[in-house]
Amino acid sequence: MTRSTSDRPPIVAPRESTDTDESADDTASDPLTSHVIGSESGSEAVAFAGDATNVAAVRRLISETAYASESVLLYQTRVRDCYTLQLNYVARDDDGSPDVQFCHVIRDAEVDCERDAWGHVAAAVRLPFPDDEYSGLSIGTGGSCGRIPSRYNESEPA
Amino acid sequence: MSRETRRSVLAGVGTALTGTLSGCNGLTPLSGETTVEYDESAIAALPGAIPRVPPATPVQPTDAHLTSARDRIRLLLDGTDLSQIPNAVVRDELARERESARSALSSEDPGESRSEALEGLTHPRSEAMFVDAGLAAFRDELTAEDVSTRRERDHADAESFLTDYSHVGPPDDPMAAFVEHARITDWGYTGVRLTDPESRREYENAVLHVAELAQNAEWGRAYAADARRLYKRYASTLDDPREYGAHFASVAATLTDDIASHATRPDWEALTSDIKRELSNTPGEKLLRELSKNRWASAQNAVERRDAGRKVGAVIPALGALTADRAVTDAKNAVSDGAYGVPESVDPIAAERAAAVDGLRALLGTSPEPIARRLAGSVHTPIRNADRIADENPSGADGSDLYAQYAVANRLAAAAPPVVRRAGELLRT
Repeated sequence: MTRSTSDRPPIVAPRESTDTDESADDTASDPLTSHVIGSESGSEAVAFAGDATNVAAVRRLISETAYASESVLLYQTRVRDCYTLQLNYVARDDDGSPDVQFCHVIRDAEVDCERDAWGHVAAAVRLPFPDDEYSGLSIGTGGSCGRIPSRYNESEPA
Repeated sequence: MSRETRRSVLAGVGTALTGTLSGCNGLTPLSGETTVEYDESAIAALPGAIPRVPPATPVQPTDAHLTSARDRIRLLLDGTDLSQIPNAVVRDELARERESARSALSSEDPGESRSEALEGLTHPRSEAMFVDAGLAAFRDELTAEDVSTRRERDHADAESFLTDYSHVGPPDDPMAAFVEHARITDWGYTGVRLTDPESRREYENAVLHVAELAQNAEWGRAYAADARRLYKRYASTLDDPREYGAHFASVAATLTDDIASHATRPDWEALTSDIKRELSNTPGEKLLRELSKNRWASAQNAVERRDAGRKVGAVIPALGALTADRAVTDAKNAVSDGAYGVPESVDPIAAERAAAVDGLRALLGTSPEPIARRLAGSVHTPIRNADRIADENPSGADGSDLYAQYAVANRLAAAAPPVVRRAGELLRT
């Protein structure tokens, strides 16, 4: 999990894109919301804002992933300053599509924050299957961390 | 947590209710429509006085006991400086619990018995502990493991109190002993349950998680400690006490056997198969659903308690199930005869409320009164709830719902007296 302390989100590249035009101006598109890294070359395109926290850990997760059998989901969103995201569970639907659910948790009591202030967080989740095993993906952010829905007999650890 | 208040006034039970119900059907035609506009001022005029239900237990907690419960809250909140916590959400969560605990110190209800007041202070004590433990965790002076150790000790204490329990009472008054032990053991078992390690987890935040663990432990500890202290006081009032444990277990077994068949989810189709009229969206449907649900929940509770070896704990829910069972039968007959359609005006709703209040008054006059008072809560509560809705939001209140709630109270009040008398016979012999 990485977080920025400014208005800028912690992951600044790759950017959201509606097409595959590599020549598009990256800085003109929106910050990514979700992005799957399926190869080592893809991992090299990830760039962080200068004030992003916990960058070394995220870089390590990305670089130490075995992309032949694994992939990495990057998910970035706005969040209230006193909260952060926590991975609730990763499961696979019947068609093999990953279902990744996050929940909001209150940050440490020592963190100086105001109730109505906002920031950005980004999560890097290592999925235990390569990106060519799925064509779709669902991501959710619930209010609180709960149990895995009963439709999933067992969860796949991230 | 339910609070029960109790009161007794003598009246002729069967006559009063039969007259009221037949009058209700005869005087007020029922609408075939499912949506009726009601006179808002008539809805607002529905609430009125409800007979107070006096305490069932002959021996109440002492004033000193109540004072010590309030002192516990004050002690836990003393000097709590939340400004030292930088995270505003954590700070606000603690402040909210502190405010709730403080409000309990300033809101004394003169109509409450000491027993009710003490029970009303159990959760505020846990809220105060939430604050105290949260601050201690923030200062690194308390961990989840510390709380777990404390909780295990409290759990063992609560269990040992019940393991060594003796159902002592006056040699000539098993009824008084029963109602006293029903209250004390209810608190005792609640203490055991709340100090059980299988507690909910709401917070991932470390400080707030320690706070919630400590809160649950304190909630259970308060119940168990109150049970132990009230038991001690009760035992101290007895001369030449007699042990009634085996007798109460026999009564519980008899009553629970009578209602065990209702401990499974009611089959709505079977329940209404012989009613030859349309019930959908009528007060009659709501009434039957509510009463059958009440019968099921009470019977299930009684069976579970009996199976857990609770000698007195199964009796009151078994009596509740017996009452609801009679009420279901009577309500079905009334509905089959055309009662409880959607009322065309507020008049039948007001009449049903009046019947419920009369029924409550009659129930409270039924002997043995301590048992009647224990059952009266299920009559008092729906009247109070419907009154509250009519009082707070007369324009938004659903007349059919109000009618059904008063009908639930009316039917339970009418059904209870024979059940009270039967319980009296069983407990006295």
